[in-house]
Amino acid sequence: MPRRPTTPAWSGLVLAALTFLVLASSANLSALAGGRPLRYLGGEMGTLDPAFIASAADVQLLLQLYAGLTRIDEQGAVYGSLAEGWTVSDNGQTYTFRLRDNLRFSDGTSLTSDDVRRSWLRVLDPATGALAPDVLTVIDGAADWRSGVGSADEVGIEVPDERTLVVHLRHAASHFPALVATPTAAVVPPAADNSPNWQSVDDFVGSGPYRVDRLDGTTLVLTANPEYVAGPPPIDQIDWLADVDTSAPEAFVAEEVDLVSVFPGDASWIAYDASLGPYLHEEAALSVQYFGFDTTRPPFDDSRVRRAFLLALDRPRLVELADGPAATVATSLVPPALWPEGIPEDESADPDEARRLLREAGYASGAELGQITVNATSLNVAPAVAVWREELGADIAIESMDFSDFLQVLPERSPQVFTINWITDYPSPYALFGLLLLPDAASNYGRWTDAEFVRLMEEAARATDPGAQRSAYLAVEAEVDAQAPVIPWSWDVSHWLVRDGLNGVGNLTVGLLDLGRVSWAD
Amino acid sequence: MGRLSRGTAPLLLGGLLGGLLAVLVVAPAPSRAGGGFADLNADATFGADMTFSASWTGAPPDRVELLLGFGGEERLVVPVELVSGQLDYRRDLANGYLPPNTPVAYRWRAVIGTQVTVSPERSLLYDDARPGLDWRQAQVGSATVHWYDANEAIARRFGDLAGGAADAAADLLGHPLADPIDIFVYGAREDFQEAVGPGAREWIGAATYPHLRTVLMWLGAGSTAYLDTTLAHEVTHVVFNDATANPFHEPATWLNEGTATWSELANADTERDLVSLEARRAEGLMAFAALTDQFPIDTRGASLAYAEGTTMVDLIIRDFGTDAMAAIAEAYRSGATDEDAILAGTGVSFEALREEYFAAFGVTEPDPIEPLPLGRSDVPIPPQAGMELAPSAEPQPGSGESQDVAWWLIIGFMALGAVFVATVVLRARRAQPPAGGGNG
Repeated sequence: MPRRPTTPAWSGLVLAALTFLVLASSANLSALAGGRPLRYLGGEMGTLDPAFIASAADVQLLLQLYAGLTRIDEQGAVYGSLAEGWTVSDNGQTYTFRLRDNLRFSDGTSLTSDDVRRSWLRVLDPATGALAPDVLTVIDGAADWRSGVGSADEVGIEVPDERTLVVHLRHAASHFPALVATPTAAVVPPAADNSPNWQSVDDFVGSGPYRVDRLDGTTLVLTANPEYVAGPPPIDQIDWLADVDTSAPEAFVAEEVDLVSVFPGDASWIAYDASLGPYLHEEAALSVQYFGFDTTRPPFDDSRVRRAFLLALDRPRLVELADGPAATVATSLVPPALWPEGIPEDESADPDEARRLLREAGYASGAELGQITVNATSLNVAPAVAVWREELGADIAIESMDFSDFLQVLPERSPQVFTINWITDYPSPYALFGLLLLPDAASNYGRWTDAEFVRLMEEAARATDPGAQRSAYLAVEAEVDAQAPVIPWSWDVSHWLVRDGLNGVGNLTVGLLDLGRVSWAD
Repeated sequence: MGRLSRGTAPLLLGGLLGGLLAVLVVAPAPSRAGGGFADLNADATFGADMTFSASWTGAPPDRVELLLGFGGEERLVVPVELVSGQLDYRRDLANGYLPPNTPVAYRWRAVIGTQVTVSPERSLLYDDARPGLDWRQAQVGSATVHWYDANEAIARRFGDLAGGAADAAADLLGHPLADPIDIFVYGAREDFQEAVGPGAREWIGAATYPHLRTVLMWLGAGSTAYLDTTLAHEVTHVVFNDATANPFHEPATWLNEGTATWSELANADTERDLVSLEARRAEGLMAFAALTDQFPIDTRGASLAYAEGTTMVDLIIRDFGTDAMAAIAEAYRSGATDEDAILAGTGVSFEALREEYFAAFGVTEPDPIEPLPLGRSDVPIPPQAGMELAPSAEPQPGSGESQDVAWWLIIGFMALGAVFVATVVLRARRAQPPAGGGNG
């Protein structure tokens, strides 16, 4: 915190003027409606290719640029987007999607069910090197093709006609309609090949509510796509800002941005600020911070050691200390909003049991574990490390990486203990358990394999009514807790400043933000 | 797939350093089976970059990494490619901030199979050695003062004052200054502004980096009396950091700033007048929940935040004595929350203390502002025709109403709950304070 100056006499006037500008603009500019651009601080463009989504910021951007068979509205409900509907076979393993008539890419060329199949096979194709092909490996034959056993022709996607897509799954998956709403499963134009530069800012072709018009300095200018399946969105132009010169609240006050996420540390004072407080909104928590273990190498190839590290931590106390009294300790990878009903109870710390498990695993003391490396790239690890040292006697080195390096390293050789901040992008427990812990999941960075977990996940995927889903996912949770491939830390809630008169931003869930459904009030 | 977000930034991120810095050439590291490092070099140019180089003799390793430390325990690991036996790494510091006087520890690590070869750790001091800043220094008590131009006299006075301020803060907090401090005295505003980095607010006149035990002062910030009290404020931050250091929790900002401001004159008379005045205005006072982390961006809010923190510290000292402050600091060292630390120090709950505080100004603690309702989308979804719903509990068209209610309930509860702390995915603020943050 910088040293305060003597209060200038004019400061109140400046604040009043800024407040007036905020309020006045909110009231008056709304008359411009669709002609008024929406300025959103979305961050630097990472990729324009749905096969190479690497971060939450990528998800946000590509949701505006591409459409899939389904989409998720601002309340988290799945609806048919390119598909006008679908049917499900009695055994829950075959989905038949019916595409709408006269679908087109943003350049006016037709979009058919064959484009959907081609887009999905491209993601699955090992030659593409997609970052998250496992999103679609629930499709029959997909995992085999990726493992080199089968071929593209054996992947269970049929195209009987240009408006019908039949998908055969390995097992029933009631979350499948939600799953295909993810941008990785979006439909890309025929030009999409395995080269990294098939898509560009200057010659963009997509299928979403917006298309890339140009790069204006560091701002990506998106314009309404007249060919979008739901019709052109109400707001003609989105200015996707890569950065601002000041803090987010200052940029909002100065009207450089209309929609922006803010740090928790700023949200704490904004909530009480008469001029900015009315525009502060809190999003439903759909993200989780957690510790993961490299389960392929000693000592964390032994579930007793992992459990020891879990049980040593009094997470409710530590999370509050680390993140404040309003922080929510995570009792599962799955945030509460995604549980069909209820959430698992918290598990109390038990340092004595933790030490007993270590001894049982053959480590008379934590020092015998050798030096443990804890990677702190995504989480403040100091509280947990202090406890592991104190309670278990572990010798720990704390390392971190630049985020881009971390992304490269994780799939190749994850640190012994790593930290992840993960945001789900479709509303199902499967989205977290499956993509983070199934053996074939690209994001199973700890390379954990557990046959019982796989079996329980398939059972959970088959469950259809809420009671059965809850029971099934609680069984999954129990297995994860017993084997401890991860230690859930906290469920995160983000805060946003939203200009008054902006309708349709809903719960502002990061991965689900659909600006195609956003409008300025008339 | 779900998505990774950046979460906590590594210590180095945002590092941007001004000035030309020391060059260190170290002796070759002894070779081990499989190879070894030699010719370790490091250099830096303030405001531009840092460079590191080494040579590797032996079989090509599977990977080589450079480990960088910035005054703390954590090491930033940077993969570096070996090219013809040579290792070179340049860290671009154009998009961030690293404070002057940051000690940078570095070592190289090579991995061949299961064998790990590590060079000795070396260090490099990144100081603000921009052209034209002809720094000189002197040891004055527990402070090393640094100055350029004709500022030796005031720098030495700062050294004397720092000793007294550190002693006073140690008495107040029951904990001595743990190690010496460095005070850098800037004569020109532009020199100072570049030193504190591009993200600093333009009106600041001093900055402290407690984890670096470094204070930056700008002589043009105010009168001599103002500078003297400012120095006491900054030094107190360093002692406060020493007195409350723990791996679990950073004390509330209002307490840190309040303690530092109270220490300027050992009272809160000026601040009490301001709080009294603001309590009678329509905007009113601020809740202490609003002052635990960042302070408000506007000048009124920032000034009131300092004043409320200072008057609360004054209340604690007047009602419970300086022993209470020492006990609060001790509780923090043991890993207490803000509430528990206050209780440990005063024997009174923080809630009761706040109630007394606001009552003294004739007001009650304010509640969070109710956010404006978010308008629901007026964009119709495309017709959902001819479809049989999937047998799923996932929200579906036509069956999503109950799910909508659940989500809106969540949102409603969250809105009422006001302030949650969470990691924000998109980092909008530029040049955040580096690890440990700067205080002032």
